[in-house]
Amino acid sequence: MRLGDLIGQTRAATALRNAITRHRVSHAYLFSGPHGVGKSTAALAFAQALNCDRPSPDDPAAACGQCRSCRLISQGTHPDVRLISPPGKRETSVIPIDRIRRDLVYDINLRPAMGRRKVYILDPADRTAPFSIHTILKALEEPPPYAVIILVTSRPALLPPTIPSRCQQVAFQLAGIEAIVHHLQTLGLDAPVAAAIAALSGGRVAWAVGAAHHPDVLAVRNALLDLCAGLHARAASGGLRLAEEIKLQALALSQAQNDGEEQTETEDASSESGSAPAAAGGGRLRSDLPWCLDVIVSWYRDRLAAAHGAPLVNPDYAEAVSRRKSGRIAADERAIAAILETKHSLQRNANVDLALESLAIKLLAEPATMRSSSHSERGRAR
Amino acid sequence: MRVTCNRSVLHEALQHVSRVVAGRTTLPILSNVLLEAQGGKLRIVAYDMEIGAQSKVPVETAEEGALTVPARVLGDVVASLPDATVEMAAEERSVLGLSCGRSQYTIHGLPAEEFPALPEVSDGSGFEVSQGKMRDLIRSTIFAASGDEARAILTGVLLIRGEEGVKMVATDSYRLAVKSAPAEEVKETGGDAEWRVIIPARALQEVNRMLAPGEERPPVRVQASEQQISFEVGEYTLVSRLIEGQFPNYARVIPEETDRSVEVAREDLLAAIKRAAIVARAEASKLVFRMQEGTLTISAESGDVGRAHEELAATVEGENIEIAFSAEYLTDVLGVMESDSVLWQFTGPLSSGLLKAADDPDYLYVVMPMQL
Repeated sequence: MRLGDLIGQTRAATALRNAITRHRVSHAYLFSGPHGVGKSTAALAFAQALNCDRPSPDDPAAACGQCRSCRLISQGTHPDVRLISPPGKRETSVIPIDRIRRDLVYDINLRPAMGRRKVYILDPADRTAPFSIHTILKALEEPPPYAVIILVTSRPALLPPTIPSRCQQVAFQLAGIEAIVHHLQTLGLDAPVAAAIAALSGGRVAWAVGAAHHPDVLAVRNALLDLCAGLHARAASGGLRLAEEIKLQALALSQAQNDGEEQTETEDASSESGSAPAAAGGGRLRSDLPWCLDVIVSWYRDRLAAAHGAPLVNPDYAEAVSRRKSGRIAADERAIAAILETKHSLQRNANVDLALESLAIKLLAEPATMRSSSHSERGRAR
Repeated sequence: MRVTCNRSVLHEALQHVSRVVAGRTTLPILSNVLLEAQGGKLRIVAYDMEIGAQSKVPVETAEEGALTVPARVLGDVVASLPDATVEMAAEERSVLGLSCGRSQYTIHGLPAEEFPALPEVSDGSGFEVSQGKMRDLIRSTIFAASGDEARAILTGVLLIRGEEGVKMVATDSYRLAVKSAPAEEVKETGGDAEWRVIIPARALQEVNRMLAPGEERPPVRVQASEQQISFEVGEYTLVSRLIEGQFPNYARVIPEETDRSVEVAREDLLAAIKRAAIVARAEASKLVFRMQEGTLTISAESGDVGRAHEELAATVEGENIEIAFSAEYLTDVLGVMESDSVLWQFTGPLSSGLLKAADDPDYLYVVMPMQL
């Protein structure tokens, strides 16, 4: 992967390429931006560009991807490029302090073995053991001339202010939908499928590519949209069942993404004795549910968009979306607000079942709430 | 790959090399050894990204090739095989078949292409010394290197190549050890005449393990480049990275003029210090040394434990002196020295003491005193 090949990150890529071509490589970088937009890929591409044995003659910042140095970096076995990440796959696992001490604070004093630059990639830099990030301060302060430290994070606010102030900051953005569609098509996806995935990715390339490899993800999305399309036919009292159905889809999504990783998951669970596998499943559900809610939001969003003739996120559901009764714009808006609020409370550790049930009841009771809320508005006006 | 070789030769080579294999690693391949058959040699390589070791074993090669297998598994299997001919063959890109007599094993490994290449030190400057001399250099200094990785530069040993020969220096800022090998014992093998590098102490420890003193043994060939240093002994090679930075100006802490000195039998002194230190354990091993009229007395006192008093016959020159040292900083050096008596020189109770082996002008040891 070359810096120039990053999808939808023209500004970040240009900044990094210029650093190389103008010989102004900084000793430390902070790659920040939303999750899944290519920060980690960019860090490795930058490491390759810094160490490539045979860079292209007309563009010194383009790594060849073929030389020994480039190959070792992409394999993760280059002696001068250290990727320091949390040991487990879980969201809660952190980079232990002795790993940072050994592989960064001490190792940075050893001269490069083969490359010109030693590159340390701390990914994600916000998931280190408590206070251990401070151990890199000295390395950030007076690094040897050959060292480049790259801190990768989607939550820069979690770093103590002393860290970013010592780094050159490179901001990554959500990629444009067209760029993702184009990339998915080069991976061999059909245009409509690529468009649907790209729209749902919300600009996160890594997610889009992952979804492209898991057809089940698309199946879950279809099931959720079908669910939405059938909502009007449901009784207002079916809230619990609806909540259960949404949850089932989220579980199906976890399952689809887990298939390849099952081995490591079980190893993880057994290595930390006493942790119930159910808890691990729960954590996965919590991280997959927001995406399912996004799909439902996209349904309501499309209804609003259809009313104004704007382009749809889910063009393949155009017909179902436009089968709406008039005068429900306010209701759709409230539904979106309710879903977003549920998403928010899930991030704050709300009980998954209760949050979903409460949401489902709101979605089904929409006409009623509309009435009651307009009552209360009138009441307040008086 | 398909080779046959002698078990004990293979075992010895594996033992040498696999000590370097990374114990706890995030890259699984680093706990493997690379086996590469080429010509009549099997190259065995281990590399933990800081230190790499390579050993060549004579084999009969039926088919050239390479793969990697877990060092522990291969090492343990070979160690417990009977002494006979071992046949090793790659069954796939990453599976090793091993047979010896009626024992047959398949060991799962990883393809050789994923193994990080051992850096080569080709265009560097170098010299050769005998194994015995290299062992002296390392043993006399390595213990003084710091164990505190926060100051990486002090965890290394400074190697200086110059006109007057080769010198190794180590310090942890409380003590300093300097050992030289005079020019006539060092053979030039090309490159610059003067250079200095800082070598991680752990690498020298591994070098020391592969050395055996003896006249007929091949010399150690040292070669250093900007980035790394290699030590070659016969078919065995160790490559290490170098530590970056400015080594403290050690010459400044060596006292130039001393007005008091004591000469004392080394083994007696070492034994007395070890005994007295038992009492001083709770007091940071603080021992008080008094030199007066032909005797050296060592005393230690600890409120809870008791007292120790030792007297040694010594040749004392200059004024009497009372000075305190930590026992830990003396036992190492006295254990390493080989002379019958040691010469200990002082300027005052608060300045560093200079310790020399009476018959070895090439070894200096400086140690800071403690508050009385």
